[in-house]
Amino acid sequence: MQCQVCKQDEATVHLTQIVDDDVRSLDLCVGCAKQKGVSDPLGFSFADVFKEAAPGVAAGDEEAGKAARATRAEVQCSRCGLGHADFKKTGRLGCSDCYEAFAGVLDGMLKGMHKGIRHTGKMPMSAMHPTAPRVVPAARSGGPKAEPTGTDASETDVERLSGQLAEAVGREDFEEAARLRDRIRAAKAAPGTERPRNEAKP
Amino acid sequence: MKILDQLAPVSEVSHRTGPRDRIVLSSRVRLARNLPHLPFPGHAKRGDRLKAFEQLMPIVHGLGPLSGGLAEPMEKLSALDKQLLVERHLISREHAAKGVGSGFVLNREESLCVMVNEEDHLRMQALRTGLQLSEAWAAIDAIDTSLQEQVDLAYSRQYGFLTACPTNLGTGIRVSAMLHLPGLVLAEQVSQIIQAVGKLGLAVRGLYGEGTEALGNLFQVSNQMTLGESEPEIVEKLNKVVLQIIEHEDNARKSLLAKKPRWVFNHVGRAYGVLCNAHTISSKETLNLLSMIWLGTDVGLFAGDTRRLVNELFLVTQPAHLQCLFGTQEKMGGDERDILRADVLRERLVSLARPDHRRIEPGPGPAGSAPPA
Repeated sequence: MQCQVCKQDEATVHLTQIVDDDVRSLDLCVGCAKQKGVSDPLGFSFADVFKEAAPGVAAGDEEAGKAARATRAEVQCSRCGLGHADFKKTGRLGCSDCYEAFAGVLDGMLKGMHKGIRHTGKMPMSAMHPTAPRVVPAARSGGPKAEPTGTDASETDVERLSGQLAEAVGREDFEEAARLRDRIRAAKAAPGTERPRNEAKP
Repeated sequence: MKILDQLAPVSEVSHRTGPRDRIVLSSRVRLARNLPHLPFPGHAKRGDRLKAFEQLMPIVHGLGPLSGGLAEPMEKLSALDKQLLVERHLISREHAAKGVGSGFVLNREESLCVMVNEEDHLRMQALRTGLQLSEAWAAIDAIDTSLQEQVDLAYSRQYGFLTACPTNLGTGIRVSAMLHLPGLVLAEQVSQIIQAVGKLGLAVRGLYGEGTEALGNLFQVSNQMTLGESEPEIVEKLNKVVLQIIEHEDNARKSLLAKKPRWVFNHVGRAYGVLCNAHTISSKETLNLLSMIWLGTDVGLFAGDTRRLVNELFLVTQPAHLQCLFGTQEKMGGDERDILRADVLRERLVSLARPDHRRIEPGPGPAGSAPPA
């Protein structure tokens, strides 16, 4: 029997997966099995191997798949070092940057948890004046006040990108997700392009 | 230090009153806030935790309504002190387990309390007696606003205030009311109520919050969702639900008194009998029986206002309070405490006359739940 991945060597590793009534089997040679991490059950994702081994898949996709797997294994917050596994275990994030690092995982989670996935409550004063120097703002009585604003080009951009990010994560394309995340970060960081939304309630 | 000397005496606490306090013991609103540049307390190394602590403690203690209050690092408190604060609902059980790098700040009136480095860098809460959710929100909102004049907080345009746990994300708000629902429990309707409340996205918990048992027929109702709704919307929703639960509780009591008055008197009378005559009694049994005395008070089975006495007993029979009453800092055994608890109850209930059903009988038909003048 020929290996389904390299289509050269003799397949000696045979895997069978049954999901509901759907039986799928995979035959690999020792070399490919090792490369796919079959010998290491923790690092092995059946679905990924299937995706690559599926007939009609372009050769270039294998590389992308590998990269995606590598990215997922390493999804962690670059600032505090919290890994995805830690987050899954404790349900707690490590720092405020984690919300960006785990944006993909979080969006789906938050939808089931909350009324919406966008904050509509009280805003800090610093968020309403992003271009103002971030020193102690002048004292004000009462809650934060909203300022009138029209639609903002970069805000829409961020929203569009966030949508794409959620999709990329949905199809487990973590490489693309990482690219989108960086673009969102860049868009958010562009000075003076973002203005507050008129969301604060009086 | 001895924290009890710094807190209001039990006699004062048990005299606090508020709107609808026959059923609603207390209202509280909590906000979770974090610093943007340091890891959340649970993930922070000791150095970072201390940095957050040292930055925040003076700022919090300097906020108008909190200045002049109590500000203590957790490691300075004994296990007994911490337990006292838990029994007064001023800190969480989780916070009581904290040591170096965590602290708490409490105002003189004991209506505002801030935990530093609990699960988040800041957990700020306002407490009120009775049903005063909007008032509690206004108080904590003001504290939060003045805090933000002094320190930048972790915030994102999309997600709002960032918290260690995604369940608190956005507003970081938890609005809750502590309810005494003996009527619904006796009428076996309370699980229906809990289910209905759950469907509205609200949670019902026991006396000491998350994961605790509903002792003494006390239930804490709170919001679960913190993102996608504004704070006033959340407060208003909870307020409406609490008002509905009050109505159900009132109806359950009326209907029990109309249909099975003897059964209700039996519960109250037996509770009185045990509390007045026990020589060893657990904290759990005490709470459950005091709940019946309280119900008896509400429906007018006792002469005079026994509410304060019941309030006081609710507090002094808790383990740490009981221990303080006997002036020992050494940890007592459970058996020893159960004996002392029974002693305290017998002694203090001497002044309480037996419940008398003739006070609200005869007269079939729906009995009023208000005590006769």
